Amino acid sequence: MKKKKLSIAVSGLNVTENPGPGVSVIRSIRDSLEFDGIITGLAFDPLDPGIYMRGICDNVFLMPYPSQGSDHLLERIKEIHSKIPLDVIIPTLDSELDAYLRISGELEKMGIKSFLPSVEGLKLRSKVYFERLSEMGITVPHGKSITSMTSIYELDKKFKFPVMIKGQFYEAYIAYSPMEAENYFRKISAKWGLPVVIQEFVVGQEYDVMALGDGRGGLIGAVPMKKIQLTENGKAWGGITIDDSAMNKCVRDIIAKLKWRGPCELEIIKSKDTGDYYLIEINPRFPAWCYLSVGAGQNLPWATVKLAMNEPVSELSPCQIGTMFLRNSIDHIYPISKYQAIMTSGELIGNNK
Amino acid sequence: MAKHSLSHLALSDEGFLFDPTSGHTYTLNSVGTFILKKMIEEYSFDQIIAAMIEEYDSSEDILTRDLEQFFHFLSEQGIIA
Repeated sequence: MKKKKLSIAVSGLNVTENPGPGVSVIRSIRDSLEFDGIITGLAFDPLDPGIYMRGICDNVFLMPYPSQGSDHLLERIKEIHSKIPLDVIIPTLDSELDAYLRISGELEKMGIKSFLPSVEGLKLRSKVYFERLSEMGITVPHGKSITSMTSIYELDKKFKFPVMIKGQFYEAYIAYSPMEAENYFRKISAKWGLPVVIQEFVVGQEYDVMALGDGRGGLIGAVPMKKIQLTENGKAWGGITIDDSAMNKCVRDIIAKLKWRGPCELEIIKSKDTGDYYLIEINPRFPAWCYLSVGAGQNLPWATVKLAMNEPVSELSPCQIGTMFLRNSIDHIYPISKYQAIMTSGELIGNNK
Repeated sequence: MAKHSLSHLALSDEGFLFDPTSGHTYTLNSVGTFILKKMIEEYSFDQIIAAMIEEYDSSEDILTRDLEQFFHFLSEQGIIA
């Protein structure tokens, strides 16, 4: 097997209780027998643990926060590219995607490739437009975007309590009454702005599926997982791959209808009442548990690198069922010199030496 | 009794059961493991009772009641229809 010498940059190096996907993406790429190259970590915080973990990043650069806009991002990447020429960038956080899409043409001219979702795909997966997926034949909970508190007291005309109250970017709560809904409306709108999204509450078993679409309607691979251990915030701390043929069909159908391009995480609920599969959310990037795809025999992060490099990638063999992951939380010891370097210069070159 | 095949279930000799469709895991006692193995082998209700009578020192009435209760449990868990 001929190995590929590539220089790949990956973002999202926080590995806290609610980790970013970056470290898992890097571990997956490094596990590919085809990869032989260097990996540069793009971090937002000097204390992102992925900066310091051994065997993860060859180089690390601090990045401007997404709120600073795409111009700052492009300038920083140009600076990095002049020091460490990059072949591929894999942004792993939702909040970065918009800026990366804006500069993707410039990156391409610089010879830096990526495999991002389409602008249309990103728009459709947003919570505000999510209900429109039903017009495409995708089963989603009934939903509505509201901008005023008075709308809450009209909800019982169209919704049955409990309902989900969701921020347009993050956070979701179950409200069992209009009064409770009003409280959550205040809390969410103060944090994430308007509109706030009301969604039908579907009772059933929740599953997560990591998938990779080729952008033409084809599914390169999919790893369905049931969470077996949760954090207090309901994030996966452990999970196991499953094989539900009806759900697999549903996933293939969603990717085809959306012509999804790139990685994503689908949150799906199998209704206890009807047995139907409801698409609850699409996260437009790898989940933090994406290293499970390597364990289950489908290295989706590496397949993404190949797609970014315009290499043909055929559909991967079905994933291995019953593959389990469990996270852990242990203390690592590091010299202060690395922290000092990243704090003062915003970069660590030759980090793994 | 389950109409569909249960051959997809992963059941160890020690009674660890993994349902790959739902992702749920269970620990069965030796009687539950015995019964479910027979179900996976597509034994009928009567055939399972006959196998239990041979295996366990108990009356047919008690074993029938136990088997019905176990079916109820499996149904509640969505393992059988």
